[in-house]
Parts: sequence; C-alpha cells; structure tokens
Amino acid sequence: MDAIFQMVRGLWVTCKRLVWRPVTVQYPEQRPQIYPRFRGRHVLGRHEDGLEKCVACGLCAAACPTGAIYVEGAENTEAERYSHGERYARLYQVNLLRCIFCGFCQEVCPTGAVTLGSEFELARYSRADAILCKEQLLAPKG
Amino acid sequence: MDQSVTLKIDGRDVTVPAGTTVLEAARMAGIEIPSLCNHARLLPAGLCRLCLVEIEKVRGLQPACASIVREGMVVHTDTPAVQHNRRMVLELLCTNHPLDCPVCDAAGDCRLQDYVFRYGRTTSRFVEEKRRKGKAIRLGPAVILDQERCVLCQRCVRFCEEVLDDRQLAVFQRGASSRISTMPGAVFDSRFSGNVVDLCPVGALTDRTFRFKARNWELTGLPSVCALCPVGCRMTEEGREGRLLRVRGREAPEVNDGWLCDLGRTGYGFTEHPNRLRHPLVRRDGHLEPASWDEALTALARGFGAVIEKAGPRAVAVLGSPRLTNETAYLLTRLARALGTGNVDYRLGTAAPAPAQATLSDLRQAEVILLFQGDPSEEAPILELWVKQAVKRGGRLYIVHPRTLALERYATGAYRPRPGSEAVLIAGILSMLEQGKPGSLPLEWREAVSGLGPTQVASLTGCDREAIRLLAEALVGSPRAIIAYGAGLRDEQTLALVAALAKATGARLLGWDGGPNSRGVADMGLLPDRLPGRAPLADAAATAALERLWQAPLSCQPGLSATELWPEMRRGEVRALYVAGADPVTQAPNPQLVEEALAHATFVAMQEAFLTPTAERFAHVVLPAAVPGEEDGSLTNLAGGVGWQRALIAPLGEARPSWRIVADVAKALAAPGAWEYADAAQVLAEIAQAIPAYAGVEVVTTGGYFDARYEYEYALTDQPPAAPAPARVAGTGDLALTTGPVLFDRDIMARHAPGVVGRAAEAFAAIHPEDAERLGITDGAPIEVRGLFGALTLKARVSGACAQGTVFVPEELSELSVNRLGAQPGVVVMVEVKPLAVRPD
Repeated sequence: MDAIFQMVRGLWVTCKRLVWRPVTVQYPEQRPQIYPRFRGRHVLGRHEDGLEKCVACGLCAAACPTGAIYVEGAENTEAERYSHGERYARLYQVNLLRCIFCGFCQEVCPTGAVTLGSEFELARYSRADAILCKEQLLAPKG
Repeated sequence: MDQSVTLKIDGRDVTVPAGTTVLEAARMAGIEIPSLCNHARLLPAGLCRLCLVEIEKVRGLQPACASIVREGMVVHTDTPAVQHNRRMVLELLCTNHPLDCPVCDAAGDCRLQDYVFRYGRTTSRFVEEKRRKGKAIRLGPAVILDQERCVLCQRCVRFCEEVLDDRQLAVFQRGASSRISTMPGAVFDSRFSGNVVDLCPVGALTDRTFRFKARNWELTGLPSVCALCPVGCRMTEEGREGRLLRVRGREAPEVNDGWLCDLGRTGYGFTEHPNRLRHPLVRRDGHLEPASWDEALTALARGFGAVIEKAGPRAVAVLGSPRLTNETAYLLTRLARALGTGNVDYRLGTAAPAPAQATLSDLRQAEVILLFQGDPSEEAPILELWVKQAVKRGGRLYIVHPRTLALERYATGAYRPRPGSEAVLIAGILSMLEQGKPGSLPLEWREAVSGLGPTQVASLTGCDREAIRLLAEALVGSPRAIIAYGAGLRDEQTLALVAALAKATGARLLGWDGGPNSRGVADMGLLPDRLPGRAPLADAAATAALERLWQAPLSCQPGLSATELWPEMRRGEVRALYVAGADPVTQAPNPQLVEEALAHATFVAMQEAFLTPTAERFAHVVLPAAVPGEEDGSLTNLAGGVGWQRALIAPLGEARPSWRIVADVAKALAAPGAWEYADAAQVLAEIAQAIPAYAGVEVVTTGGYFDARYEYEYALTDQPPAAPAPARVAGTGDLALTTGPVLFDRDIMARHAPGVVGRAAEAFAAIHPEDAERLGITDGAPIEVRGLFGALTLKARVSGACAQGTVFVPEELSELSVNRLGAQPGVVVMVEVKPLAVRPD
C-alpha cells in the first residue's frame, strides 16, 4: 500500500513537471534574467552631473587579488574636468581575462565608482580586446 | 659631548651620548615615540604635542623631542596618560583634517595616517563642519600646498629658516585659522623648494611633477645617485610600469644628507621626452635616417676602418663629455688607446679638475672657505647649503668671483678682480706668503711669483691690498681651511696656481666644473696626456699593467687635446671623430673653427640621447644612448666619492646604455682585447684593477659611498709655472664677457625635463646699471651682444650683481650658446653691447 502511495507521489511530481513551462532559456534569442546582486562586467559610475565618480585612488587595484585593474591618476584642470575634486583617472583598465569577479574592487571603492554590473557576455576574439579601458567601462552620460 | 648618559625608558636601560633628546634615545633603543614635527635634521620645536611622555619626578607630560636626557632619568612612553594624550592629539588633528586619503599623494607614506591607525580612535566624535582652507595652492614651480591637510608641524617653515636661511614660508594667522603660506604675492622659488615635500609628514605639500601619477604603494624604488651636477647627491629613484616618476633625497651625511636641489628632484623628465633618439641613425644622401643597430655599427666600422687604413689610427679622435659615467669614459679611453690613438679628451673649454683633498663633511665644518670663481648655487647647489652651514658654525667665507653671488651676504671678504686677473690675485697671495715667511713656497713657484709686489697685484687686479693680505692670513691661520674653486676656473695655468696656494697654505682643495662627472671622467684617463688614474704616459709601470689588463699594446704617445684637435681636423690630419655625449658646435670655444673642422671630417659618429646640433649637421652615424635612470654606472663626485647610479627603467626604444655602446663599437671596429661585459658592474670591476685609487671600489647595491680621493703626485700641467700675468684680451668691444652655468638650464638634459623648463630665466645678459645707463639700455629691453664669432640677441638684466665693465651671459641658456661670443679659457673676450630698437610688432 505504502509502495503504491510512493509511486503515485513520484508520478504526481512527474505529471506536474509535464505541464510546467521549461526552465531552459533559449539564449541568445531569449535574454536570461539577471539577479540584482549578479557580478558581471565592471561599470564606472557617474555622478548626476555627469562627472566621473572615480578619483583614481587605486584602492581597487590594490585590493584586486589577481591584479586585473590598472589605474593611473592625473590632475583635473579648469579646461578639462573629469571628476569632482583635483584628481581623476587618466587610465582605468580592467583585464577581463584576469578578473575573477570577486567584487573586492566594488567593496573597497570609497566613492562607489566601480560596480560589477550585469553584463556577462565577455568573450573576445583577442587577449588585447579583453583589456577594457576607461571609455568602455564608463556608464553612459545622462 | 663624548660623555654618555644612562637612562631608563620603559624599564629598559639605555645609554646614549649626553645632549641626546629623549625621543632620539628611545629611537636608538628601538622604542617608537610618535611625533609629527620632529625631524632629525631640524632643531626640536615641540609643536605637535604627540611625543609627550611621562618622566618620573617631572610634573605633567613632557615633550620627548625637546627633553634632553639626564643621568638616571626614568621615562615611560606607554602609560594610560600618554596613550590618552596621543589619542586626544590625533583626534584634534583630525577634526579639521579632510579625510581625503584616497586622493592624497601622501597616503601610504603619511605619518598622520600611520599614527591614527596605530594610536588613534577608530571613529570620530566630531560631527561639525570642517574648517575650509586653501586647496591646491601653487606655492612655487615645484610645490603645491593643501592648507586643509596641514598639521602645522612647521617642518617646511623650519627648513626654510634653519637650512636655507631664506624665510620664504611662514605661518600666517592664529589658532585654528593658522596656515602656511608664502609672503603675500611671493613665490616659493628656492632652488631647494622640493625638500619640503619630503619633509611634510602629511600630504599638505606635494610635488608638482609627481602629483597624482601613482600611489605610494605602487612605486618601486632603487637607491641611486643623481647624475645632473658634480655633487652626485644620493637619491632614490621611484617609478612604476617602466616610467621614472619621482626622485627623492636619501640619507647620506657624507654627500647631501638627504636634501636635493630642484634640478635633481624635478629634472628627470627627460627620460620620456618625445625628442629622445629611439633608433640608430645613419646618414644617407645627406639625411639622417633610422637604421638598425647592425646597419649603424657596420657603417661605423666601415667609416673608421677606411680612415685608419688610409691615414693610420692617429687620424682618429675621440671626444667624451663630463656627463659620461666612469664606465663609459673608461671604455672610451681604452678604445682610443687600443686603436692606437691618443687623441682623446672631454674638455671643451674647461680644465680637468684636480683630485679633491677634502670631503663635503670637511666643507660643512670648515673654518675658512675661499670660494674661487665658483657659484655653488648655480653649479653645485647642495654646496650652497654646506657653505651656509660652515658660516653658521663660525666659519669665514671669502669669495673671489666676477659677480655678486647670493652667498656674498655670508662672506667675510668678497673680491672682484678685473676679468682675467684672477691668476694674478692668487699669485699675489703666494708672493705675499713668500715674503711673510721665506721658503714657504716650492722653488719653482718662488721664482714665478717673485716679481709680483703687493702694489702691482693691487693695481692689476683692482683689489684692495690690505684685503688681499687679510685673505692670505686667513688661509694660513686655519688648520681647517678649504679652497673651493668652481666652474669659472677654466684654464689649467690658474688651476695650477690655486693648487700651489693650497699646498703653500695647507688648505685643502675642492673643486668642480660645469660637468656632472668631470672628476670621474678625468680619473678614467679621458685625457690626451694621461692614462687611467691620471698616470703620465711616460709611467712605464702603469703602462705595462694596463697592457696586461687590456691584452693590447697601448698607444703611449700624447695625442691632441680637444683644443688642438680642431685645427688638425681642418687641415685633414684628423679625419674621423667619435663623440660621446658632447656637442662641440655649441660647447667648444671656437664654433667657427669647429664647424669648418667637422665639415672637413671624413667620418663622424656620435652617441647621444638627443639629436644635438652637431649630430644633426655633421654626424654620419648617431647611436641612441640611455640617459640617467636607464643605465647603471658609477659617478665620482667633486669630493672623490664614488656612487652607483642605478637603472630603474629600461632604455627608451632601441637605446642602449652608453658603456655598452662603446663596447659594441669596439667590437665592430675589432679593437684588440676582450670587449665582452655582462653588465656595468663588470666594467667597474675592471676599473678597480686598472686604477689604483679605485682599487676596492665595488658595486654596493645600496648605493654606498666609496672614497676615491687620492694624492695626486703629478704636476697639474706639464708646463713649468710661468709668471702669472693678466689674461690675453680678445675682441674689440668695451665690456668684458663673463659666463657661467645656470642651474635650471645647464645642459641638454635640463632643457628636455618638463619639471625644470621655464624655471631658468629667459636668455639674458646681465649688465651693471652704470654701463647700462651709458649705453642707453633699460632693464628687460632686447640687446645685442656681439663677440668674436657672432652676436646674440638677449634680454638685458640691469643688475648691480654684475661688476662694472663686465657683462654676464649664461652658458647654454635656452640653446643660445655663449660660445658664439668666443668665451674661452685664459682669454678675456671684450664684447660689444648695444640696445636693439624694439620693433612695433
């Protein structure tokens, strides 16, 4: 009796799944759902006024366990202003082949400039292309 | 001071010399007492109150930096009261300190950051608005000030006061509004201004050339030696990713004691100048075109080979430069001698400095200093500090110089002999000494100066007779007298007289010329009449030893000096020239002759970091050389101290270290002997074998100090001492030309360093107010100075510092080369000066 009950219960699960929508996502035709705390490609944020949040403090590079980040600072001038304050990132490079998406850079960033975004399609045709520069990482203006 | 005192710090018995401060005693015992304002090379100030400690039987907490140790003193550095004070002081400092460490250049190398981390509170109780002060204030050409970050330790102010004796910085306003600043409207333009950046314990003062380029923890550093002036300051090169980003002073009591001038600190930007040569160049159809090293060396071997085959090795000449490292100079000497030519020199209008007899520490402690024809401020800046220090200790300074120097306000006596009569002045002192105490001069000098009476000397030099006597007495009267001669002394005859004066008075000789490594290059034997170690060519033992070492027969016939070279080259006797680091067209005393000679040369090869006018116009092959910061090598400073310059970064493009270029050239020319060296250290090891005075010198990786001072038993010149007479006069003008280097525009390297470009004045000619009035010249107006070989258009600077009847034109200022005017050793050039009409446009 018990055995039959167990069998019916098993079949019930099977039957239920038969009428469920499949969980497989037909990527790339269909876009997967990205969870809010997913850690994808880095994004360098901007303030509301469009200036860059990054001040080139280099803490992300220092915290990075794989040495994937390279930052070089420079000084803002009256004519060319990139960030609030005196210092901005002249160079900000992320090597996607080295990055392990641990999120330490995001955690350590004092200005909240670098965040791991939702982009996950990171394959490239060459190694050089996998090194993203500041212009590729910056969030679009506005 | 040799007494010692025993005290107890934190239960430990510590024995230190009497007069030590408690802070220093604790440091010696390995106990750290935090302090922001205290600095080993500045006087105690007791400003930051962070070093307060408990001393038994003394009421209240005491500043450790300002308390002198006493016998039996009992000090506690870690009691609750002390800890409470530290926490409180740090908390108060942080109330108005912007916590902007992420954008602060000092982060990672900041005392306040370290102390707050170690001793401070973890959270702030301060919720009020922070006080706003000036940010990014450009104090001067080298230093930027952030007043908000300042902790008012006044190290910078004290540096200006105690070390520079030039109060350019001060504290303004009071209490929490206090701020460091220059006087209103003034610029912090001291030659040593960059040192305050090293001194600043926080990030208030930052280096303009380095600002924001890297974080402290990202930099790698190497102990090295500055290669830009004859002092050879010990410094640290720091860089990142193949770029040299920062230069800082390094503790070295025997040389610069941690200070650096701004040329050394901010003058290394030439490493990444876009005009640097990156490839060898070979002249094809009249144009220099990029080539590979193989092509260039083949062309060079063919060029030299043809000349040697046709006209013999003596038709080849080698011209070095005082900018070369010892290794390069040594290999050049070896190459020339091995090829069989003695035509090797590096002096373009200078004299080879005599070996030093004093150290820089001796200079700091000198009782009497005779500064002869030298301006330390422009030629060897750190010496300015040491001369000031000697005077501060009670020393007396005497200056013989055609201009009024900045140091003159420290001088007991200043002498301005008529241009060309400097040698007569020295001879006059010698003759005075001989009269005062017969037999005090060597015989040959006695005869040479015997004809000079005091009245005659006074009338020839225009100096007061009594004043000359005082100088002679001062020199004889002191056991710690130093005769320091500078770049103004250009002829060997006067140098021999100065050396004789040193010998007769017992004063010690210290000297330099404009080149950074003149002494080392001369020691390496880059002279037509000397072997390495400055041994005479006739020295059979030295020759035999060198032949053994070099495995090659030596050419021991004296060659042509750089002065004799040009006429011979024009006549076609010398047909091929190898130039390393020199630019004869702008540096040699007679540019017309040099240009004609070079035009006659069959083959000219050069190794240089930049395309010089000589290279551009005359070179057939140009080899790209590395610059300081890119190559290892030793440099001998003006006091004979050998330092090891380190390569922090790789040479730009295809450039090679200069010593390696010489070895490559030797191999290409199939010069006899072995030319395989793994690195510069191997060359240095060979130098140690070749030159007795350098025996024992080795590469000390920490950049240590090797003393290569040695007794010079040979005469400075081969000519017998002649009766000194006023120098020959050339030219038809009515003003005597004086020249000298200017610190921030001293050579081709400084001109390519963005950090110092613009710090030197625009090309100028200084002229005495009365002469200016007579000629109708106003300050700042354009004037024409016409000399022997042409005229220069310069900006007039009417200044009382320039003696009447003379005009001062800086050497090489902004590439306007003063050699057009014909300045040369042992000759007074009379130039014609006239105002130029200002064109309306």
